[in-house]
Amino acid sequence: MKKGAIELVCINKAYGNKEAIKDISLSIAAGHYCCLLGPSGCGKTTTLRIIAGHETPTDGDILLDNRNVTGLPPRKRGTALMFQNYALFPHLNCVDNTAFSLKISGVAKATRHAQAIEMLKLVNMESYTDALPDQLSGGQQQRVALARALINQPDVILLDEPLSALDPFLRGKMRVELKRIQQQLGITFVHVTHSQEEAFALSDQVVLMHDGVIEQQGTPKEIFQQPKTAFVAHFIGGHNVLEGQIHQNEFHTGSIRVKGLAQALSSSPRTNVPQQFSLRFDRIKAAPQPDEGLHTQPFTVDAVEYQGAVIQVQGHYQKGPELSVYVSDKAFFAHPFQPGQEIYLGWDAHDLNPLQPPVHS
Amino acid sequence: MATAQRKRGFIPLTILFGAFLVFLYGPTLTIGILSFQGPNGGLTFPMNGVSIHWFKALFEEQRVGDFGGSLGRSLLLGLSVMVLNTAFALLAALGYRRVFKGASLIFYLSLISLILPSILISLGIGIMFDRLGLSPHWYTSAFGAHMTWTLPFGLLIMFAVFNRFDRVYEAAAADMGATDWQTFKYVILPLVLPGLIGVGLFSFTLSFDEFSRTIMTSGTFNTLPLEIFGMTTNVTTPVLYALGTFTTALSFLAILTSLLLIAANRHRQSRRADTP
Repeated sequence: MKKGAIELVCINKAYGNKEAIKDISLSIAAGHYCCLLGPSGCGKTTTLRIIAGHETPTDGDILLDNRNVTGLPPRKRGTALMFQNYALFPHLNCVDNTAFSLKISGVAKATRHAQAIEMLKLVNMESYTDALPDQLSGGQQQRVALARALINQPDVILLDEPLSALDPFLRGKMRVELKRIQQQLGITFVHVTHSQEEAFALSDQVVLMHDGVIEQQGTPKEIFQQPKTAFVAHFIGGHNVLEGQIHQNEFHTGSIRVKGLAQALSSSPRTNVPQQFSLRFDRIKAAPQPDEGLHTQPFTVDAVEYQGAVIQVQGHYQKGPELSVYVSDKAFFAHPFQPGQEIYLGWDAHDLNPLQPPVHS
Repeated sequence: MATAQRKRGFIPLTILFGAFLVFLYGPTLTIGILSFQGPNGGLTFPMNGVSIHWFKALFEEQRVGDFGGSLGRSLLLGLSVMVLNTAFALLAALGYRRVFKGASLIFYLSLISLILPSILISLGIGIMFDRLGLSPHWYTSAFGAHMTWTLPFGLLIMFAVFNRFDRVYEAAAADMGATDWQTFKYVILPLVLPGLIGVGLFSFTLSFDEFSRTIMTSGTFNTLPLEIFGMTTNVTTPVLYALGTFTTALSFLAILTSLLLIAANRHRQSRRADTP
């Protein structure tokens, strides 16, 4: 059986009067890659530090492999934390940094150096054994930090924004590397990030946090296809949030009416109920002329942004929502739009994803 | 760009700076030259031959001074102050990393001795020893007087060092299972070591040439600065200059040694880094 299952039970953390984390319960399966995702100040790093044992929860329990570790110091938990700026000891070379925890537990020099070199091999840093941290690039420092975290064979690796200090190119490369190492070792990785791109690329499980609570958790696909709240839809990007009313089988937002809601809503349609839906940028059709399947109201283009494979068109309805639309570059350059121009949009009712009211008031 | 246009003030400012250098180093240089005066030479130019006669005379028993003894006392005193002050400054700075009651009061109290005139502190300690019926010695009352001078400097340096110290290293050590003592030994101490060396050197030099805090506290035997001062009023031969040259050379030697030590340490680290 794999080790490294994490269970948080009703965790609270308050700093004075400020509640950083409010009643979080979460379980992460052994051997999974889990990303704690959210904007700064959402409590994701605090959650990580609570799992690591560097913060004590005000209330609640932490279980690792069904063992209650709430009161235990970091070392006794079987976790290893990789700090945001890696915290490599500047006075020790790569081998001594990597072997630090072995030195602490009294392993003889030859043995611990041999083990450290093994770990450095795993992260492709074996040719830098004698380099000091400030002689290494950010990506190299991170590899050494990872080797240092791995050397005690922890069941869980905790990573605090591990890629945020790297340039975009290196970030992509290290992302692949992290995933490779995680799969090779089969241990649990918990990774804090504010980048949904990073979280989607790496995770088996994404936990999206906001204001100290879990807004939504699930696989990247679940979250992107069915964001639960307006916050999630906004945060992960690529989603419009439409606000309006449901009348029988129709959704009214401004002057726009969307028919055939029955399939879209699992619960029976209500009447005169305020409701929010999310609608992906790439699920909206755009055309310069009115056409069948498009709304008859004209849509005024406010901005056109070239993004390579797609063109993001932002605009608004005279009486209705502001929307963003992805138009493929092929379709766009066949009929380019200018800001100020009026175009016509359309979408299927089943692309509307019903949103729940915010988790917290 | 060797012919780059110089600013207008360049030449007058260079002359001013040159004059400053002459003012700063001229006297020392003059004393240095005059200390090699021939055996029959006097206190002023012209040189009457060149010899090291006066350096030899320095280490013989003087009619008017005990140079060897006072040098020994000053060195011992300086080293003791260095050791104790470095230890104090480190422990105090570690203590000040936590918030405790009365922290700023104690901080300002220890800084007061920087502001008070040294001679008053010296006098005060002298009087206190007298009132308590203790006889002052260079290794008791003068030692304490020197500490009042070096401790505030040591504290300020160590505060600055710990201000820049990133506590994440301690968290990292704790994450890897280090006890507080192991964290101190393997992480904190090596990282603040350059600061500690600085405090040590500073303490030594401050104590070694301290005059006013010693004059009322040293008791029967003189330290080197007191001895030199005494000689300036009594000695009329170039032995005085030899003494000045010798102590200056000693100071330069101390600085050079510490620079070499630092360079050696750097070299050792980079050599380790270079071997594949």
